[in-house]
Amino acid sequence: MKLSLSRKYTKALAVLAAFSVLVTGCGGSSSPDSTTAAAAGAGPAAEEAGAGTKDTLVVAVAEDATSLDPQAIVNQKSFSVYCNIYENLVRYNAETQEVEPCLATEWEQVDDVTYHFKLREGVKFHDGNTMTAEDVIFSFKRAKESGVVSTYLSFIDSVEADGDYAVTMHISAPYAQIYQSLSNPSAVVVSKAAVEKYGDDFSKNPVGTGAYKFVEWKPADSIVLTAFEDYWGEPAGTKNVEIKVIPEGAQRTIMLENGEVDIASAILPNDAARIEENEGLDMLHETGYKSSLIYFKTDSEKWPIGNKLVRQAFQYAINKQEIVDSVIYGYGQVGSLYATPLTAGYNAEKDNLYSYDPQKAKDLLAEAGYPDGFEMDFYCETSQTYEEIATILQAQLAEVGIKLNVTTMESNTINERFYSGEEIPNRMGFYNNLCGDVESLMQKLVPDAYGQVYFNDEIEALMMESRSKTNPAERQDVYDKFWDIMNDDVPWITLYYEDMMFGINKKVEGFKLNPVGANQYKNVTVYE
Amino acid sequence: MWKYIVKRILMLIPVMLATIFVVYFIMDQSEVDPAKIMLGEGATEETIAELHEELGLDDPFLVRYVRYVGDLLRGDMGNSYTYKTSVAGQIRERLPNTFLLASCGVLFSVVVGIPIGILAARKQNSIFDNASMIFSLVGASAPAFWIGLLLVLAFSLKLHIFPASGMGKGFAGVLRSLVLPAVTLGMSGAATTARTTRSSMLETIRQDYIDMARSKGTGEFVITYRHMLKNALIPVVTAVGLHFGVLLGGSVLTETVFAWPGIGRFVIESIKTQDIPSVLGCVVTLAVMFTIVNLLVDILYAYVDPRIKSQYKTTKKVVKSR
Repeated sequence: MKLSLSRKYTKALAVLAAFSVLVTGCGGSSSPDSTTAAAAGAGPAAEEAGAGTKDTLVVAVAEDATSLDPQAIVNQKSFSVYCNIYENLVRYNAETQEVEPCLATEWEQVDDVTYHFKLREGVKFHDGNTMTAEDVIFSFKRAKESGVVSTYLSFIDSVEADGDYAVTMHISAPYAQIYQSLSNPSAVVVSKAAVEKYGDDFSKNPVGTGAYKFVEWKPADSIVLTAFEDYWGEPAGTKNVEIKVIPEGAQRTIMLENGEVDIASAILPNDAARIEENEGLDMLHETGYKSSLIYFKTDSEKWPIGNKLVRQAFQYAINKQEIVDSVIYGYGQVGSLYATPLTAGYNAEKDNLYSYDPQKAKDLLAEAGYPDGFEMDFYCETSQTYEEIATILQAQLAEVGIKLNVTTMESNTINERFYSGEEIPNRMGFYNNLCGDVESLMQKLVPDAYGQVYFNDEIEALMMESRSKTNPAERQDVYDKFWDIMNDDVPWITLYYEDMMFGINKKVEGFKLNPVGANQYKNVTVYE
Repeated sequence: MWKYIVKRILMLIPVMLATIFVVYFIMDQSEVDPAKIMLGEGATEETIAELHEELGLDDPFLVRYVRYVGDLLRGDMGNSYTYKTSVAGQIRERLPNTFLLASCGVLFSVVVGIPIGILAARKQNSIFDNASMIFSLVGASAPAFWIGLLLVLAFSLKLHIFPASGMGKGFAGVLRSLVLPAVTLGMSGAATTARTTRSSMLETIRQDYIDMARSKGTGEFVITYRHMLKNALIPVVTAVGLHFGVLLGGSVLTETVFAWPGIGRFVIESIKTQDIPSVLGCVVTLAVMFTIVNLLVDILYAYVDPRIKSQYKTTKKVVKSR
């Protein structure tokens, strides 16, 4: 007891802290520093990453992935990572609206419901195995059996092998948009051997054929990928990719300004101007496939919004430009369709048919039997953006006599109440079209879709018709009919088409935004 | 002493059962269907029904509760609805990070708080005393996210000394990234420790034995550290111990602002996504840890205050004599 007690206590804590640093800092970390990168194998990218380029691209994202198994999860936070690990048979280019080869080099439509794909030969999985027809069949079968993703591939009846490097796909009915659907993040090829080896742990040991292979995942902290040395295509531009999870938007911007990260995703609209003013940074923002929406319970008898005239009145009463300007600082585009201008099937002539006109809104309300307006509950999920939008809507709709009583709660609870159980009139949210085609939106609106609250038999007929039209112009006619119904029925109200917001360092080259949010890093180079 | 420790550990059992019951009950009241969360947007009525069957989600509440406790006894915390992997694995990955951050936060509060408290008491009513009490007031009242952002603006954005956010790699990287969150987390603790130390020292300073030591010609340094501090330390140990226990629960704000991959963020994310197995797993882990920290604090008393130690000894003798 020679030491004073406070010193003893302090010393004990110091030892404790040092021990913890050793446990977490040394024990857990196996990358992505240069030492590990070197150990991971000096691939072509490593050799090319000579003087003047950095060997690690650091990307800040807002949310951690929840799984790296493409057949267990389809959410943007996960596929924005695993789209670099796995590949599809074909790729859909949103700009040209054309299908490009990937793991399949050639394909042909044998008849209305049969497709033949010739597979690329010599493609290696990250575990060293060669990709064959067996892996392709296994992947589609696994996806079809997965409760989470089967709905995205429900059109497939069966897939069978034609030798080691060709498959024949049978689908249940003619499907003109098949290639878009085969490009979606869940329709990728996984290594059969790896799935069998890892079982449930495959989500933490993903094995695909992509330009990057998985190295390490520290939950809530980071995911590290490294260039795959045996990649069949052009080698990756940067040897390592570190995806860091930074939940606070302001922090992502500061880290970008500090040079701690090279690319920061989900930039807050109020930080965007700061990035634009910074000479060393670029602010990338483009419309993707995402729209911000109000969903109405159109089959409601309890609330006036069950009447389509009332929903049309909402369209006229909302000044969407004001919302875009004040809530998202102009980083979005006012619209009224449920598909953004980039989506196949969008038609500008059908968009924005409802311009801000409070008087028309009042007239429609009078016609619907509500000359003095009405009062209704309005549900809004807990999020700064949605709460701000709800406040503006409250003020705008009050002008035409609709008094909104805004209730804020967690999105899961709102969704549950909206789709089943207690009746609530609306929910707010977004719609991200994973296939980039209006047909995929129609699937959401057919009467037998799970949790449907809008019932119109015409939608299903139009969806099937669109699937049978292989001629794009004829297909557009079908989509236009669909838009006419939507503009008349207004089951949802689009507020704006959301911009994808990325801040990047000017030393980053080759980064392109992907409209679904499946951003690829293989062509990215970072200069010193 | 050992008997006391065993007794305290045994007390954990009813505490845990009750805690799990309460949390399980609260989570059960939620209207959200776990099957829909797990299956996401691609859910169909068939797949939801299958999952209900598979997980026994339609069983009565008590059946599910007993099944959970049974699994827990076998060390199985279940699978996370969100991550589809074991909850124990998720906690194992995050707990060391929270432990590290909490330890450093407490270290900061002790290293800063105790000397400030001692000096403030020794120089009562001086400028230093007043300044230190203003520090205590600000430190205890300023919210963590505000302090965190100020520190980031100063030391990261302007001075480029420490990273703004995230956990660094390797020993040096972790240490560098630890400084700002640890200071943020330890700030309120430092303020409380300073105040507690000061008031406790002021009580001790007026005791007769201090005058006695002084009259015997003992040096001021020895009086302060051996006679005053030793006796003034008991409430400080309590405050610091409890603070450590609370910090182990994970500081949601600090962990979020600094993107620290700890358990606090995990609990909040799990509550938001209604990931019941993860919430329960975290609560169980934290309740066990909090009890252990409290126990350690109690044991520490015995070393700080010989009177407490002697109480245990007396009890032991009485038991023996019976």
